[in-house]
Amino acid sequence: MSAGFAARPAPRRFSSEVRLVMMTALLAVVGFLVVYPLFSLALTSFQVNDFGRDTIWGIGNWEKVFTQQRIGRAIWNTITLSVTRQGISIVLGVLIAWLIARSNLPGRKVMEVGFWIALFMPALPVTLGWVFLIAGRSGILNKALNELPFVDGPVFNAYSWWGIVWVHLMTSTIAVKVFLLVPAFKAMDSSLEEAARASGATLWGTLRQIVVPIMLPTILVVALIGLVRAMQAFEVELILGAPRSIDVYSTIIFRSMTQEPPLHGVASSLSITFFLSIIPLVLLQQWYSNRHQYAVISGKFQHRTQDLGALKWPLAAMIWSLLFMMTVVPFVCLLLATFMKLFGMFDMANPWTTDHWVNALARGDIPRALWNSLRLGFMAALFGMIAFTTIAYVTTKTQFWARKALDFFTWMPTLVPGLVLSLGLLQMFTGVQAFRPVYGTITVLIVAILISTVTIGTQMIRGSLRNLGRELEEAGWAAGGSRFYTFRRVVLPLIAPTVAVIGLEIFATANSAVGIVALLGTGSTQPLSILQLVLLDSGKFESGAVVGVVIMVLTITSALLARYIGNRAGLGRHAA
Amino acid sequence: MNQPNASASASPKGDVVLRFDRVSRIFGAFAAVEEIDLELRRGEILTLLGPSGCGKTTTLRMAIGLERADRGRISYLGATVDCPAEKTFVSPERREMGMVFQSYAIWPHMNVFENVAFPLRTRGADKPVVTSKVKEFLDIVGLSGFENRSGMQLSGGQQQRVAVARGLVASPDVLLMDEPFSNLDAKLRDQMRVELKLLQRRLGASILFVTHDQSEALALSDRIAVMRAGKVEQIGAPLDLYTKPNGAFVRDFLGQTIKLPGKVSGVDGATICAEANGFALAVSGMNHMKDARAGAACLLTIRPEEIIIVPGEASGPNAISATIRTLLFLGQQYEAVVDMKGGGELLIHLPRLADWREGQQIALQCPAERLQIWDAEDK
Repeated sequence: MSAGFAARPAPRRFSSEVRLVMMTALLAVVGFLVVYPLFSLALTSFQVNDFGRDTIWGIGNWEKVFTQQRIGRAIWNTITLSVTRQGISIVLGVLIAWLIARSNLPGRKVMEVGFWIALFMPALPVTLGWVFLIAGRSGILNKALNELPFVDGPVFNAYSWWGIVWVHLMTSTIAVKVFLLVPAFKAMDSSLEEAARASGATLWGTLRQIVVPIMLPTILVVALIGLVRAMQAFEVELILGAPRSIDVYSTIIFRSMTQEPPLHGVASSLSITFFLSIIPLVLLQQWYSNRHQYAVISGKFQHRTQDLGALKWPLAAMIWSLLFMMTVVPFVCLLLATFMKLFGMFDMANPWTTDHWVNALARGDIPRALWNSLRLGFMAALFGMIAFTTIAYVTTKTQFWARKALDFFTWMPTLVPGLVLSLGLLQMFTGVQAFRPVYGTITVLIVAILISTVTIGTQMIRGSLRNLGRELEEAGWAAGGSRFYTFRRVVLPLIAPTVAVIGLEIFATANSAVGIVALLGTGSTQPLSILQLVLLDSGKFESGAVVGVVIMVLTITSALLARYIGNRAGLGRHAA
Repeated sequence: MNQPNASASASPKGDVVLRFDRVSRIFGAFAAVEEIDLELRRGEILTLLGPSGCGKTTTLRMAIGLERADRGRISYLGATVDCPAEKTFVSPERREMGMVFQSYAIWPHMNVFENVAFPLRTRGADKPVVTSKVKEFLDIVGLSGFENRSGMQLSGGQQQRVAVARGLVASPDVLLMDEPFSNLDAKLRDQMRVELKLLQRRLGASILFVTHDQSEALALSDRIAVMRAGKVEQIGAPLDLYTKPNGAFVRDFLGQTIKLPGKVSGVDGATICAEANGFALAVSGMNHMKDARAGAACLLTIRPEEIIIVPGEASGPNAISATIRTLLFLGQQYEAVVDMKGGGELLIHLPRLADWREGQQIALQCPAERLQIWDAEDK
């Protein structure tokens, strides 16, 4: 074999030019898909003609945005609602994450799984669950409390400002913080804490004076991500804000799009304003995380847990009840609602019925929506895994000239609220001649789901590629493997668990996402999430609950599956 | 300073497996490797030795193509594999070399067998060949029976052996090794060093080896190229480098040196007479001075083990009187700080099998042929 090098003709491979063309094409496609919708929105915001008429240019839409009182109130609500629930959730999130990662809290491993499920809980069905529980006089919890001698009238009201805050806290707001902070806390050298304890600090003092300051960069980044997400929230406000006209930015956009005739121009200028107002937050977060590298998180660290003493039982009980309220309560309420003639009316002669399920299945639109959701989920997951892995690989492991731009494009959708993107995509698919035939097909929804998951998907795969250790891949090349062969035999098997988790994440998103597809899913391609939104918007709560249960089962199943795969592969454990 | 001369003891051209011709690698304004010339001959271990950041790993990575040269030419088995001027570049996988990485880079998702089989599979070897070759090389590195272990279940030393087996299994003409022992503990390192040398002798492999550990380089290599700031300072057999360094850097990087500042008192043919600490010393070893003439300031050097130490007052030529100030027992020998008569102290080693005590008078005899003389600024 020794003379093989010089004697054997070089096998045909993709030349570097072909690779360059392919990567540039990838850049062009990704760039177009994330930039064009925004461009289209900007254009539409200056069109003041009625929908479907000849184009008239003007700034009338912008005037409305900045003069209408209703919009001013919506902006105020958006800010106050976001800041309030982020403030509460970051404090709870830090505490819970630290307890799970660093203390001897009983059952902390199962709690982690619990928060993982809570993270996946679809907002709309959960909202509905809470509506059944605490909506004014009819909420069963309120009814039960009313039986008490000193209580008069409903105690809680889901249809209120605090109701919106509460339901958000019970969906993913706290869960996402725990999910992001636990790995960061686990990677912290425990001798830093032990040194504080040895110097006489109490457990609480250690958390306050050592752990939080050290982890502040991470905590701040998580808080800012939370704030950006909070400002983009849509479906909870749509359902719970309606009776008392508590509007936020996104619900106003939705209402101007769904009224007759739809106010495309106003919705567009609102969307652009919204997008622009989020940018400073994102820049702040990027600036901050670039300046504060995770110096304490090194390869070699001690990982020992802190003893909570007797405190561990009450703390565990609190977190367990929180998890119970986040997962079991909304699911059980929703499930009960689908089997009751009138929700909460236990004193009726025969309160139980299977009619809702029978009717729902007989209607035909639910099975069709389920089929659409499954099809959408599988196809989006498949394309997403391929596309995101490719993008992640190009941006981390190649010398492609525009890899920074490509990475930037994958971040863009984070800045754009799902509903805004939905509107932009709607304009793209109806406005660009070449895309017209695609409009109304499931392809539109697949593109929408891929755009909404591109950031997390690409970044997670990038993270796992970066953890791979350069030498593992180089050893493949050195041993004679081509780039593609080495990718297939060495890189892909090692990142496969992450890719699979991303696939499940995309599947779950496809089943539960509302905002991003809200304006795109028409009649025959309507997935479950949109069908549910339509049912709820038209007051058909029982059928909506049936759809909600189906969505919940699908998403929780994918969450557990993702967790199982991730754990088996030890994701995040031997990352380095 | 003398120019390094890679072809000092030129061998027939066909024996050169890998050649660097004035190769440079530049990162921005910083030249990691600057115009180096190197030849790896068939069947030898050539070590690139130098402090961290001297460009030795970059040189190794250019050899296999994980880095590209910015200037110069790298040829392998007579064919150019990297020459920016001619726009020639052969990618790593087509060079068919073997490489052992510092981290070993054992693929955690493959078992030992699959790790070692990889280079054979990329070269399209048949299944029976793969099986027998892998078995043969696992046997050679002493890991028979470990075929089904996962890479994660191996100790550092075992991972190292798998990496060596993987590097050699396809019988490459060159094996590149990037600080392969630096992650092992001292004892295992010594053991692996011997094993590697035996293995290399047995297989006749040509190895380009990178290390910053001078004792490893001295023990393993047929030739050493000492590198500093991207350049090769000196290249040659270990003993030559040790006894005939061409500059202060090589002298001090390899082993310990005793240095005595002094003054030239006269030149007598090949022998230079000098004076240090009031003692007259004749030097007939290497003369590194540009211009050795009477009255010039100079530096006299000698390796500690070349000094003959005897109890009592110094008598006779080339002897320095000294008193033992502190004596540390190290096990196989003593380490002593001695005060020279006339000022100055030295750190020397004393044999265990003699009676030493602090405050004792001793004589340090420095044989004329072992003393080397340098310009005073070559400290």
